[in-house]
Amino acid sequence: MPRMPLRTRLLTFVLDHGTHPKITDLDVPGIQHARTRVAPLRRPFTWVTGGMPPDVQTRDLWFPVRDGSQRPARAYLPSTPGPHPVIVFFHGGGWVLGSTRQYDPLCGLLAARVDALVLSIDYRMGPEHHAPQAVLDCIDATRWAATAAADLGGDPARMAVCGDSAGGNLAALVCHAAYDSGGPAIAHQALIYPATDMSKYFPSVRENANAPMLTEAKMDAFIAHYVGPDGLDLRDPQISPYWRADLTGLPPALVQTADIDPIRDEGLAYAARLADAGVPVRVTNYLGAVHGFASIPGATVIGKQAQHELVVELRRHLHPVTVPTLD
Amino acid sequence: MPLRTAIFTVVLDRFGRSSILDLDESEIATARQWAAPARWPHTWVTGGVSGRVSIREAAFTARDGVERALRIYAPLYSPGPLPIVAFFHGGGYVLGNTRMYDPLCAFLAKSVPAVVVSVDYRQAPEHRAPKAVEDSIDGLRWAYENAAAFRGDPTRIAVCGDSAGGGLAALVCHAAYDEGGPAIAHQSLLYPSTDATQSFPSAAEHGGAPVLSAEKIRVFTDHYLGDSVDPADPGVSAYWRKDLHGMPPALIQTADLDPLRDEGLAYAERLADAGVPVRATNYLRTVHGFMSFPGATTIGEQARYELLSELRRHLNPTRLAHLVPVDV
Repeated sequence: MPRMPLRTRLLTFVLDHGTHPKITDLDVPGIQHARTRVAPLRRPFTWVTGGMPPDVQTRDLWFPVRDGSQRPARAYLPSTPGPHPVIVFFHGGGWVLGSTRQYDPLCGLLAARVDALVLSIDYRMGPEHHAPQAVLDCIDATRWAATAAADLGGDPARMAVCGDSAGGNLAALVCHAAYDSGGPAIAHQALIYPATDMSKYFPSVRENANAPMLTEAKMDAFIAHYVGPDGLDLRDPQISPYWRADLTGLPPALVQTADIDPIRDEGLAYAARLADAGVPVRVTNYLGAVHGFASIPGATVIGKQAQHELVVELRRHLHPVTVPTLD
Repeated sequence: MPLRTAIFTVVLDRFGRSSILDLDESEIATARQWAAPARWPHTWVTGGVSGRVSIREAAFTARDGVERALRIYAPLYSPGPLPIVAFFHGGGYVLGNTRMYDPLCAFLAKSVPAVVVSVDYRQAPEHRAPKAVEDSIDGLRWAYENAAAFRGDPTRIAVCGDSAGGGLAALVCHAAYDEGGPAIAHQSLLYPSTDATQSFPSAAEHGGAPVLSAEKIRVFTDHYLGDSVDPADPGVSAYWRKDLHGMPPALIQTADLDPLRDEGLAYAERLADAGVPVRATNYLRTVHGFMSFPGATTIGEQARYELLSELRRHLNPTRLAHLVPVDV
């Protein structure tokens, strides 16, 4: 295994061997309980997670989905005067775990430092709702954001999508759907260690099968819960964005991967395919980093650098500035 | 700044090599000869020199007939022809030498893999601007014309340099464009000097930074430009060239705590504005010169890896080239 900083080794050891529930051991009630667990926004937890910027306000909202029901979303509003660009955020957790609240530190950081309205989407998850329900909810949420953002001080003409892990997968698929249906316009996609290939085609799945944070066994459990028995083909482009035939016309992308992560190569390969299709792509593989590093910046040495890259790329695409010309 | 960087830079600035501020002309000539020995504990900081790379000296003739040296790094076990990286070392156009960069150049030669040709251009105050630029262009031309002699592929050339060498690499790209060749596939500019007028905010904001201060920049610039060259002349300040269309794709790495940060980032923005594919990365919590002391930083490996990935992508264009494992 490549070298990992001591602080990353310590924290991931605690997470992997402590009381933190593991998807491979959980039944449905256990999964539902695990979803409610969130690291408190106080020390010592915030040393690891980063905490919530004090000048960002949150508001819990509802958005309509295609079957007529309502789903929750969590808005993060910067304290500066608007209108603000909009970031639609999809949390990670293998399409099974995770919650919008768990991502308060990252979404708060994006709101404050990108100076954007962040809408974090509470999509339906497996095993209660099999694929592609999560994708459909995220597509509906993005359509809703494009109209509803204005009421929250957002400027829907400047919209980006962002997500990590399973949320990176959903953000990529939302871009496919927006392209296919002619809107809404998405200015940028920020994919943080995204899952792009459920068929486990790429070598890092074997190379990092027993990595901290995410193992091949956990991947199998997540995919089984999400796709369900007799579900979609694992290479169906409705759920595995890597296997979409044509990637032309998709929004400019940032793809961040962790070097010590089973899904590293599917992120890098998706970035390579986007670039091949003529999409402007910035891809960075973070050495010494594990899956989930954006949620535990304080336990890494590249956490601040990766946050800086994410903020700079989103700003660059959402706040176009004119470069002074030379006389 | 990480503790290791803070400690290293204090040692370097207080007890290490002599500062340009205190050197007369003969002392400069002596200081220029110095390079960290390729053994620990030095290599803990500088990185080692790969044994799987051959290093030899060659010579080229500059346009005024003077013979200058080149240091050539070739990987031992890679079949040719290999892409060529022309390298220009840093040192404020006054200090530094090719040997000092053995760790970085040997790393690139082995890992890209490529033949790295490090150009020993003439330095100030003995040779004022634009002599260093002319020698750099002539060195690149020699590498292009003599590629076959060192297993090089003249159709795949990149230029790379740090600090003053980054400024030279940028100006070599301007010259190659203006003169219609040689074709340059990529430029890697590591915390480059692009603006001798020092007009950007970081020049003041980090004027008292470790390793490179505003005062040192002034002394270097005085040595290099003398009284006769305008610091805004695009022949010495790459930023002030009017038209940057047609420049090669670029990687620009800057250090956040560096007076040169903003001139590097501004040059990246102007390149992007001119339609050049640019990747710019500002490394946080680090100082000018970080690629020469990766072991004293926390981002040294990441920055080397980024440099290597970009060179590979532009010089060995195979799909998924970045999936090839890398040992930094």
